[in-house]
Amino acid sequence: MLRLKSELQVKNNTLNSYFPIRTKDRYDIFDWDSALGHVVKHAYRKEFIPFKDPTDLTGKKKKQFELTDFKEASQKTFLRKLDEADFWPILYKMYFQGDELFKIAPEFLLFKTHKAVGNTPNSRLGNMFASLLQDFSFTEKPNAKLNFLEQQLYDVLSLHLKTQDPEEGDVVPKEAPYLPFMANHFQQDLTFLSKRPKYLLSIFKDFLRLYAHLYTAQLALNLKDWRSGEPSPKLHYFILDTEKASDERKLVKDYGHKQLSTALWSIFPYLSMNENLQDSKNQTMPIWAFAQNLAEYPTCVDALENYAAEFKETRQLNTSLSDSRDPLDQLDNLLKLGAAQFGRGETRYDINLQYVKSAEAELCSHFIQSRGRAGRVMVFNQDYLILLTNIAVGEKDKLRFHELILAFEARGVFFDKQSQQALIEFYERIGNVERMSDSGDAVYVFKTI
Amino acid sequence: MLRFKSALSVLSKSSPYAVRTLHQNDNSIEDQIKNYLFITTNIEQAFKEALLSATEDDIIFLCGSSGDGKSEILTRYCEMAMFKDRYKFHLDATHSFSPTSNAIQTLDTLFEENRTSNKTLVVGINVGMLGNYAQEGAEQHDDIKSSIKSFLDDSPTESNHQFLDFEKFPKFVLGQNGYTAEFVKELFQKLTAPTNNIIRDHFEHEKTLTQAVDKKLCANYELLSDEAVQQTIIELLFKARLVKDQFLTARALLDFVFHLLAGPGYLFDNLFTGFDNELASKIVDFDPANIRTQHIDKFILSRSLGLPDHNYEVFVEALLLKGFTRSLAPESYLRLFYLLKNSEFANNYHLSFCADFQQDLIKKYSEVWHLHCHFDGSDEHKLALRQYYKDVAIAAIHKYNNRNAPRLGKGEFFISEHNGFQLAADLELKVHVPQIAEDKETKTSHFNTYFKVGKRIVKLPTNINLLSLMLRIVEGYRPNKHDKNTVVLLDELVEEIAEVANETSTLHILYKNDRYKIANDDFDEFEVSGL
Repeated sequence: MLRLKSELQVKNNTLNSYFPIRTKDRYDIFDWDSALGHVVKHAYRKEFIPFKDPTDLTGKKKKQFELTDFKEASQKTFLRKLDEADFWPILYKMYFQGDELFKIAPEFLLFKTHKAVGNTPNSRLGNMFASLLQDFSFTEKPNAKLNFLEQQLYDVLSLHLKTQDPEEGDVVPKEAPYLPFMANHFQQDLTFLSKRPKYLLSIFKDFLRLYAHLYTAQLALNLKDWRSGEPSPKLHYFILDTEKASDERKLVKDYGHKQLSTALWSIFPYLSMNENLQDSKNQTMPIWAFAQNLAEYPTCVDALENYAAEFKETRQLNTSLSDSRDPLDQLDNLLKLGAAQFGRGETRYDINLQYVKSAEAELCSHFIQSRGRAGRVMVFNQDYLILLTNIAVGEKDKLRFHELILAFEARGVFFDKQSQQALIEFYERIGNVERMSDSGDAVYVFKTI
Repeated sequence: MLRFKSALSVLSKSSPYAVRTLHQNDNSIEDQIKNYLFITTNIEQAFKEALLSATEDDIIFLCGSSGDGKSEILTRYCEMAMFKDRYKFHLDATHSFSPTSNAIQTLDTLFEENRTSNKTLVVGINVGMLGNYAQEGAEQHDDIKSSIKSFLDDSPTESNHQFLDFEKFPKFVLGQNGYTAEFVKELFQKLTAPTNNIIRDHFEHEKTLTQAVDKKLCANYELLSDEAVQQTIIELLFKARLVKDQFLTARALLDFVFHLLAGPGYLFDNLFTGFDNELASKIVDFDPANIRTQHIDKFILSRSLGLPDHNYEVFVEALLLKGFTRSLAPESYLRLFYLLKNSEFANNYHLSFCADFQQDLIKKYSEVWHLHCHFDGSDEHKLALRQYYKDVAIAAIHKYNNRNAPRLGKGEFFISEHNGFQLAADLELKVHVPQIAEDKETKTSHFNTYFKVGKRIVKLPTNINLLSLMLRIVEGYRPNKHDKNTVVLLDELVEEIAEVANETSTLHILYKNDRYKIANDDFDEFEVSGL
């Protein structure tokens, strides 16, 4: 089936797929706790059972189960079981103040997914992870070891949860994954973490931040390379935050912050053009897959060509277009036009400028540092590094250093030789290496969980 | 005759003789010295036996670190008539003979040729290289690759692939009565033997020179000839092995000896100032000049001020006769005292510092290691084990686990904290002797301790650093993030303890000065006390 929209019309640029930022977004748009909730919801396939609204006398109206309702329900349970009612306030102070409740088990994070005003950016962020998760869910539910008090709270919560209906919209992915390699690793790593719920809870936010960044970077770097088919990890070099950045490090310089910064410019123009070409009724496809689809239907060239001409006319662009009869060349024309409308000097220039700034601030800033003369570089701090090491080693006991580096690269994290040296020193300092011999090749790295 | 220093330079890692290649025997003096120093090791014996019993389908891998002496052994055998024709020796697997192929490809070709040849293949290979080959080698050699993987995982390999690993023949053996280091000891003895010793001949010759005798070198050599001094150096090397995880290869050891004798200073200074020798650079951390006791501080102070001390003067005079200068820094004297701590010398002024140098860690480690690795089931042994767990292991774990909950008593373990409320539980933590008796692992680098936590049995591999940390915790030390490497092990255990504690049916809750107890009775009712 040809995926090209049957009636192409030049309209405003919109973007609802593959990336959580919108053109009106500025700074601090995401609440990452809420993103956690969305991932839990998706991976556990759990949602709240709507419950009878006590204020409604007819008993027909239903409302969503809120945190306050949960508190009430818990109080009832405990008062029934405690021989001293005065103990309830102590329990209340212990678990219901601050974020303590959310540290008991991941399912408590579902409270953070409730729809509220000003929450849409968070569900967009949730959708980005959903796109990585696709139809993945935990086959083995994480089993947190709880004490009998926490178990009570968990039981109360479970009473109000049900397994999501697979027929409902949320479960069926709206888009095919843009970066299948990233999606695979994300699912694999999450499965690994799900078996260690305590650790998962302690690093959940960092884990999502890490993947949000790696996804952003690899998406940006892979966009223009759509002709090569399914994306593969593109060079993206980091240094450790304890390292000195020097101007001479070619890989760090050439495939570091600058490369990423430039690549971010393509996200909105390319993705919005892609979306514009596809019928919103179907599952959205990434550009590379869409291109493969077009190539199978050479007859679509005319539609594409006309659309390009119309687009150029409406936006008053003077981009030179190829008049090839190859649908891929025509797609190329359109993507070029998509980008050209945001070119320097065009009226839309500021829109994309702002877009790139927001994307960098929201999804990359944890990994960017300014380093004097060397300029801005991509960095990994110790916490992220330990996390990445743990998920890269995964279910195995240990990995040979060489394999560890390959596991990093498979997730889009690259280190040059100098950083690799610093990595070994770091691992030695925290004591999770074993040397089989004095040779650098025979270093094994353990996970720290 | 060569000058003494040139003769010794054979030992240096920068000497052309440091790396053995084929057809190198030129019978020069250097060659003779090297042959003189050659020590037949257990691994060589094992290698010889493997060669003799091998059939033509076999592949023998001699693996180790760079500088272990693989090539040294291999060259000896590949030149022997009885092996020359029936065996194919590949001396160094990291080498490739063609500029266009890398080591992996060279090995691929080598194995390919071997399939059709009627010779037994013998390969000298670095352990790291083995790992690389197991990953990247060609598909048609999957049988070899899987053998390599099994070997690296310590599981049995196919019978026609033999692996002889230098690490399986450790240079230090921890036994019933402390440790032994045959290889190092033999080397020191050969180096300083009083007769039939080509090296000593050069030393004697050096002393007879009328001009520009290298006095420092000669003094160092004489110092090293003292057996008690050798023993102290061996002890330091062992410590570097245990504490710093330093590999001791033959080449590094020879270079170390060269650095001790011909380094920039006197032997005792060379020993504790790293320079570019990998062993010495690890020993730097054990420098006795950094020990702070009242006696040592007083010595440094009075030497710096030049206060008169008759005994000291007598000692220095005696040193002078041995070829040492009078004007050493106080730190250097301390190092010398340390080196001589087991020797008699002059008026034995140095022996008064013995108590200050007393560091029992290795002794303690050997004792506890022996209790675990050679448990004989006797009552005496059990008693000693219980003592260790009670006084050190459990005491340290309890202190560490409850470091932020000082109000908890004996047998109570902290679990978690929520908004200032601390959760804790009673827990029985004790040694699990049957599991210790069953554990057959006897690696020098660690021993496995076993605890019974509630109903669970928990294993904690303990190395010398963890032991040292636990000893210090018992004494009142609070670990900080710089101890991270050993604390990780302790953290893991503590987490497991918390998990078991969390499962109990009675919890203590501590908040400021309040203390509550809540019990889950069998009827799903919670009984609270302490309100």
